Amino acid sequence: MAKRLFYVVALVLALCWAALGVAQPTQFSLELGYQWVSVSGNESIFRTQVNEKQGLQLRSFSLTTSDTSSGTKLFDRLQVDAGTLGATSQGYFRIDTGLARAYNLRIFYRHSELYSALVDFANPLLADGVDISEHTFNHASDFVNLDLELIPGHMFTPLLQYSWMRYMGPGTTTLHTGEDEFQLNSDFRETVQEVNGGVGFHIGTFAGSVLQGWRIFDSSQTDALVYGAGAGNNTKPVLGRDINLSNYTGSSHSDGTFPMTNAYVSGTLTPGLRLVGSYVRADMKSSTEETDAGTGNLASFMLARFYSGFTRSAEASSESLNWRGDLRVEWEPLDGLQLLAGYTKRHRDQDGLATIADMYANAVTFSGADAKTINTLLTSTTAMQRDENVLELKASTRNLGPVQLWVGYADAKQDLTVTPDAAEIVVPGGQGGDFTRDVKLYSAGVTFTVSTLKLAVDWKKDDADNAIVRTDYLNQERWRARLSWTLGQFLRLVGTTEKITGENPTTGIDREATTKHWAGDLEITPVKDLIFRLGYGEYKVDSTTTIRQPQDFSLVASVYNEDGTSKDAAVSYRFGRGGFEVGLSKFENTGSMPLTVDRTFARVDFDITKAWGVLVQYETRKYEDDVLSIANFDAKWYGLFLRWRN
Amino acid sequence: MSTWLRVLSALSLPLVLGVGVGWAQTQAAPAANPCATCHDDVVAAFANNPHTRTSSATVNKQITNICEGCHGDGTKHAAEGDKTLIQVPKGGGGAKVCLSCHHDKPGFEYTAMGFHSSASVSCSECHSIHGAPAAPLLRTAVGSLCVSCHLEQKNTFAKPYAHFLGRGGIECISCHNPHGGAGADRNLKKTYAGELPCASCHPETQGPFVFTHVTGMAGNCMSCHEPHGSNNNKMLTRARVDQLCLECHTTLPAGTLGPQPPSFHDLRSPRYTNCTVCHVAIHGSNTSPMLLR
Repeated sequence: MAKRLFYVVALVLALCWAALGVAQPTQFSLELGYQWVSVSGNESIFRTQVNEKQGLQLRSFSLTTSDTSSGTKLFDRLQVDAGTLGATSQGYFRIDTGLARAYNLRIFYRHSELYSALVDFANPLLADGVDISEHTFNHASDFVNLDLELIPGHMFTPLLQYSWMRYMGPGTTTLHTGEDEFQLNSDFRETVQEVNGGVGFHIGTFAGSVLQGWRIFDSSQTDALVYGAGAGNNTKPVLGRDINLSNYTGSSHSDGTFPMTNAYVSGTLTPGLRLVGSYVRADMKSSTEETDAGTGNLASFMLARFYSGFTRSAEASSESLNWRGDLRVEWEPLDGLQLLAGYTKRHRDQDGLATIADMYANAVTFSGADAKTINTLLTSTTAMQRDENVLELKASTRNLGPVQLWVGYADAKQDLTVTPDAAEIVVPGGQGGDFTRDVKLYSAGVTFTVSTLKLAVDWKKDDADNAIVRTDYLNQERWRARLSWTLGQFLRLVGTTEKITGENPTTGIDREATTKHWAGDLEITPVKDLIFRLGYGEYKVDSTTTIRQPQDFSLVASVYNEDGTSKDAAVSYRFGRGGFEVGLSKFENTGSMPLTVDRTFARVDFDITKAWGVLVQYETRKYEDDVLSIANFDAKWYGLFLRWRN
Repeated sequence: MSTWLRVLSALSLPLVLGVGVGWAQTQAAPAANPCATCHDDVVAAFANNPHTRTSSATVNKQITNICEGCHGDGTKHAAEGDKTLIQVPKGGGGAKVCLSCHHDKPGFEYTAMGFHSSASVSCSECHSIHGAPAAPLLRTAVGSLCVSCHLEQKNTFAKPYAHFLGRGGIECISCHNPHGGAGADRNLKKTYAGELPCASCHPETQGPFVFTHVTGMAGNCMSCHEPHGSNNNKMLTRARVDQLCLECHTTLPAGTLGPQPPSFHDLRSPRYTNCTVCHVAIHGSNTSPMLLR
């Protein structure tokens, strides 16, 4: 990361030099410094939730400049931004530049570090004192995107887009084999590139673009048994024999190249009548090769054998055609009265083929006979197809004085066909078939505006004739209201409330869910540059549905609750050569996952000279899990930064 | 394949930029602005505004004064100094002024009757055309701007497992198009392949897989995950994984999609309440129908 920071700072300085040399800078700011991090308690949970890092950090950089000179020039505007690069888990760098009627260019880079090491996720040994998940990762992602538009403002404008992403890093996972699970070290790497080229057009009253592109991806993972994990998760003997794995290695590789098409057109047919259409199509393809091998004392209920080792290899390919077409007409017959009719059709189909060859060495029946090597070969095909047709109608008016009204209706028809390979079905039922669902969506809203007071209320109701999966609602209704009011520069008040109810009363599903939420924010500015902010919110989630416990087929209610509050307060003040902002917040939740999160922050900046200044930043977060205290942490991170600006 | 693409892209950039720059040399510089007589500070600040390069005044040459592109004919206002004689775009009428140019820009094509427009949220509530220092001319930083109205999202992001909003370029607009888009999930930014924005940063979950889970067929990422923030591990919608799985994977006479686990999955054992310890390929697999690898 330090190397990356060096390159970025070097690039930033080179850009500054170039820009300052040829153009008139209008705004320039650079904040560079060091951040310290101190964590007590569970550092893994801190990194999973926050992931702040200690070290040299480019906190922010911005440069906005223009070249208004006549004659030959490379750009007439240049905007460069960077944030939290260096010792950080999230950083970005962005260039936005262009020359009128010549080109527009945007380059974006983002570095992300994704970390996960939880206590009570994928951890069947928690009760035995193991306090970290068997599934962890410490991945880094680098993403670069480039968008180029040539000769903007002309009838035809060539367009080019290119992106590159690499996602990689170590982690741990598990292998289910031999009637046990074993922890593995894994190393994962995936790169995804996309290139799109096409043309934008502006002909008469019609404008749009057509882009043809390709995505190229390459993904690989290698796995090996974690040292000491050979005993597996199941410490009990299987049919009187201890199960263990003494050695394991595995690798998989997937890649694919497939085309993508994007197009849209919008235009005015006659004054007040507008047509918008769009089309997206991707013909996705993927091919995979996978091998693994292991030795140990293992068992298979499927083979009714013990065995001492295995090698497996698989070749697979899958294709998925995904397209969506959308057409809508917007008509404004009277000033302020708008009517809309739209139709969307979506299609996705997916076909898969896998050939899986397994070899089990020294396979012995459970009664101890027939020691031999068993080979199995399985060819499996899968197919799915989903179609969705959505008709949408909407009317809105804004010429009723302080009142704006809108009403909407939509009808979404879904059709899903799933064809699993019959040979693969372990438990009959629910694995395939034809499913249809017709959802009628009604919605309306009203906004009342008087001076700086605005009250908006909207309502939405979905009525479905069927559920495809058990979590689909047959009826869902949402009410939402938002109030905002400002009193000059002195006061700003915002309040929101929302209630969502959903149900599927079908016998055997018995699903009911309610979400309630309300929140308010108050901002007071008693004198210029002194701002007090207060926020408060409450929410409540209650959900229940019937599930069947596999072990005894008993029916029980699956109940999930959340009941939380969020409070925050902050004050900020700017004076001649500096300013400060301090704040705190508290988030509490009871119900299925009781916890508390306390946060505080303080930022102080001071200009030593007109160009140079210092900035101090201090933040804390305290996490308390009311059930698993071993997940708790108390962290603070603070930084001292030097600021240089024009 | 990847190397030649990178080389081609790197080589093509200066080439096409050169073509563009060459083309631009034929364009004339914009004329002086008469509004500066009274509004000299505004006009001076506006010199670096993106509208100076792309407004109808400079591009189409139909009007000579760039201010009139949005404020209409200012002749009477200039002569009499009366504030009521100049058009000030705001509210729904203001949005029409903005969209007269912006409606045909990519990403704006659905704005006129989009969700913000329906809720009487006009362009000027988020954008400050004269006051913002740089494109896209937002009143404040994008994250704090969105949550100033969307308080429910502000509180959701306060939950312990949440996307790092505001850090490293991850903002609301990384996933959402505030101007609206096509389709039922029109406030989401789709990938070029039409996928949900989740695929942009989590490509390993997208496939296509031989043995797919719900992704894109009977559900999507939000079937299991809270995209803004969650109290639960992995931003899941349920505190316990077995609870989350069984709410779909229970086959009762309802006739829904989703097979139930076999009876040896004894939920009294932690081995079976941690479903993903065995079903590691929960987003989809190419070699295991039961998503075991």
